[in-house]
Amino acid sequence: MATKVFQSLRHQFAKGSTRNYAHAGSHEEHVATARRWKLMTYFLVPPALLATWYNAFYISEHHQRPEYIEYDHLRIRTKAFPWGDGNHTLFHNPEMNAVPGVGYEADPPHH
Amino acid sequence: MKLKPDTKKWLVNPYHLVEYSPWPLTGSLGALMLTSGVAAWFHKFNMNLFYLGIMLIMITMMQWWRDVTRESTMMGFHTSKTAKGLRIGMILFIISEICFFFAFFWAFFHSSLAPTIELGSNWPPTGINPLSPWSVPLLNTVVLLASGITVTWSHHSLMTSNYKESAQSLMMTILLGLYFTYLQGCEYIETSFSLSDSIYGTTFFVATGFHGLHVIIGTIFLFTCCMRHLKFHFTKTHYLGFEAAGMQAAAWYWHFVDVVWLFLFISIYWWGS
Amino acid sequence: MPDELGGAVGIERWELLQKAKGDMDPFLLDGIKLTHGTKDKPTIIRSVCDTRTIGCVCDDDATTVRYIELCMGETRRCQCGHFFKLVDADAEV
Repeated sequence: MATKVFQSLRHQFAKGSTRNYAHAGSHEEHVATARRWKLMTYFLVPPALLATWYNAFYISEHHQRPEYIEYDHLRIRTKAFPWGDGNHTLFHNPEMNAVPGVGYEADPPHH
Repeated sequence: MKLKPDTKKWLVNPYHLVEYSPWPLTGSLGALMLTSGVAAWFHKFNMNLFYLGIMLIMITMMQWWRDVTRESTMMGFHTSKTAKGLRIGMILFIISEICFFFAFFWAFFHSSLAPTIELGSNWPPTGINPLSPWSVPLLNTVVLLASGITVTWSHHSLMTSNYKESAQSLMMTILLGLYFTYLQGCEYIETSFSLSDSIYGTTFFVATGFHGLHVIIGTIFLFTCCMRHLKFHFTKTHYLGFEAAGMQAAAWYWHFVDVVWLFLFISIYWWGS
Repeated sequence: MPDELGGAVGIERWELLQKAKGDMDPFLLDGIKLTHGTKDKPTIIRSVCDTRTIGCVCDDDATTVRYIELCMGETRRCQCGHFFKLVDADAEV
């Protein structure tokens, strides 16, 4: 048994370099596969994209900012950030992100 | 069997014996400068070393891969044996990337499965408003899945030597990748929490941030493939050369990025909210 | 537009051409089934270089490979008793 397994492994290893192991198959098979993925791109992708896009920007609720409370575990500043005044995060948005000790710099966004 | 006259003995072996190249040296110097530069920047020094390092890395990447392209496409050094080695190399690289992301998921689950008292013993932590997974993150999921479909179409078009459709679908994939990056950028600006808002913000931005970086890298990879494809560098016999395998490697990488996103979406965006 | 052969140059193209001619092992990498291998009639191994390292799987149940280095023109014996001879890749034998 072990011999048989070993032999077949050895055989595969020896043959691997000459085989098209990644995509064996006839030209017709490839044409059919390419056509299948093309049809999926044309008929599955646009409606799915449109539906989720519409859902994201017109149906679902926009992000709400939480009330500013000086929790110890939020807005941690053990050392100044190397950019700006060292107190604003990299993707700082005055409407959504509070600054420690100051609170929100702008009114919440209205939609 | 008779081989060709032995005047070109160096030719009759399947292994690509590379020539002397300065790029490993410039690459490692660049990596040293980049990491030292970043550390210096974090300590409020200027960013000069960082810029120098990143420029050197960029130049090294461009020159090195230009050389590889020349060796494969113009000089034909990539025999089936060499191509197999390159393919195994790519697989090993992606496995190492899986390990890389595994660590971030570990950090996330470590922090979220038993939230500490400081966080209010709940997840998401007290004072954190997580993003709704069924809004833009769902759209992002569909964008990446769609790009997986188009990149597969591109691959199979190449297999049937349909160069036009292959290029078109590859461009669609790149556009979808760019759209994903744009959407994630918008999300990053609109979130109400930041990198320094408890372990939630840290794990969220480190995991999704590195994923976004990989999307950008994958988009550049696909873009390079698209440029090479438009110059007819790729043919369907990818198993006899790295030719299409270059594109295949990009496709593998893209699928990897796609799968990481699915895990991020399910665990961090959905379960974690 | 280049087809598979039109896009190939150099050693890659040579490999493709050899395979098109029916030689599926142009680089002499495939394993050889040991049949004879006596001192008078050694198993012929070909090489484009002066030496070549070969691995002998001495019998069907062997779980290890025994590596031997052969020199051009010389006959060498593996521990299992098989004889190998290294000849030039182009030589008529």
